[in-house]
Amino acid sequence: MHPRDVRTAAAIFALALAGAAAAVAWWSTGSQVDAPGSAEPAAPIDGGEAFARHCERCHARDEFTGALTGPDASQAVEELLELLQDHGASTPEEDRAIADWLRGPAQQH
Amino acid sequence: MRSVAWLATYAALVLAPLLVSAATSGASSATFAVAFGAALGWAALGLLASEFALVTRVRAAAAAFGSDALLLFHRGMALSALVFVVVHAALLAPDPLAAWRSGALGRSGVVATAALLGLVASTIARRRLPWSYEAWLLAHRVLAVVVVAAMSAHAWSALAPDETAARWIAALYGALALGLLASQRLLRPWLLSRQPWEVVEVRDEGASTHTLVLRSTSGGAMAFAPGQFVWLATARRGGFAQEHPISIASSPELDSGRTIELAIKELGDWSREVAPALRPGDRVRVDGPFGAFTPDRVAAHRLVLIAGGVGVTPMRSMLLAMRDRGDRRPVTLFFAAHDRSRAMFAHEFETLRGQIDLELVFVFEAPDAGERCERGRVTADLLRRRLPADLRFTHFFVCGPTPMMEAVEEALCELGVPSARMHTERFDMV
Repeated sequence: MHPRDVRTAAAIFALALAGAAAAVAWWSTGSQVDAPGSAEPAAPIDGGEAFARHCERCHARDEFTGALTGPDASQAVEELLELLQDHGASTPEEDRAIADWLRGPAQQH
Repeated sequence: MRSVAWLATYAALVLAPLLVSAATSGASSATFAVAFGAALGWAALGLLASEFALVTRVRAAAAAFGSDALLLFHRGMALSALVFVVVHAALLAPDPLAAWRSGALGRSGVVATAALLGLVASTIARRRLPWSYEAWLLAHRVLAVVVVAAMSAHAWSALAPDETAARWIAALYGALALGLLASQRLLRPWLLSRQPWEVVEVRDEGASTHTLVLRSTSGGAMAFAPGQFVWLATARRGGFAQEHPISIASSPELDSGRTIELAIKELGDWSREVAPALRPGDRVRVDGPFGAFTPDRVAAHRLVLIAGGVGVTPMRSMLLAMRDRGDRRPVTLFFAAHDRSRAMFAHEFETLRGQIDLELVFVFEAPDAGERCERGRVTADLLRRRLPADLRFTHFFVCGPTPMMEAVEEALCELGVPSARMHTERFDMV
């Protein structure tokens, strides 16, 4: 095969694979890539369940409760939310629910 | 059809991790960007584990596409996997320091990404770095093992304990890749070293070229097609070492394949020092045959062979095979070299003119006075002058230094030769 043909085949294969990944992502998220406002209102999120699903593999609850219930709790909550934005697969709603749950039962919605 | 079947098998191998993870994880509450990043990670796992399959020297696959094409595809897929991994990291954990501090999941991801970056960068810059080919190859294999092991551990860590199918896919692909590597680097060489080939003669062909005449010690024969090559490993203290791809220069009919001839030109350290030092009685390891560069696989009424320098060795095999088989198809050999003193086997080709329907065209850059040849290089004008106007059912085989091959391919395109009838083999695979 001519090198040009091999490179073309490789590019096509890679693009097709990326397309397959996008299709899987679109299917699994129920096409959340659609325009904002088209989603139905979300049910309340259980912060404990969200923590178990996204965080428990690597972290324990008591790693965070000290900072989140101490004198600088509100600052700590903002820092935690900022960290969660870039870390892991949780949604912003789940991040807030996790933060509330970590702060204790009295803070949960 | 054979190539379609291989492509389908490869695609299934690459896609399996992505599809299994999609089927077992089901719907997700994550954003599309996060889900896409995760999916790209699974796609990269399939790609990188399958990289080992592309270079495992499966003869049937090499025959379908050509070993040099498989290697080029292997490089393309590595670059694609790198892009997938970088986007995956950017979407899921853009801060590598934070990822490293987060635990096993982040650390394995950082290690896999860094090793992959090192592997790709060192390959791209190989010829500019001050290290030997063997040193680069060792580093390449070590980094590949690190990438696959870290990547499998990363995928395993990212999954919940109850995601059994996906976890086992991650482990299986890691084991598959490492198993393929062990099979090629340990098992296969061990099996081949139990049936070595013996050097029976070393001929000086002039033009800094030596022909090794090898005979099978096991009594077995190598069934090969003219134009194919083998990997030759010469013994070193402590065991075999330094494998090199060498075209078979003899006819498949020679001694019914129990004897083969390999012509080696002095070009690098190994070919200048190790190969010429071989003596009758020395044992070598031969793995092959490989390659799709052969007229046996095409229906051609006429053959045009265009060779530069040592690229003429597979053409010698083709012409000797035609002689031994009584093949009367017209064949033209364009043999490009600096001058006659560097045109190996020139006298032998002249002798063949009386035995097969061979038109021999020497193309010398600096011919001796009175030399009957074309002067300069192989160009579209030269081909147009020396070939018939009707090139239907004519297949072209081109082998030589890369710049020469690229120029000849352009010339053939100018003549309107379709790529399906142009066959090439590149020696500088990496």
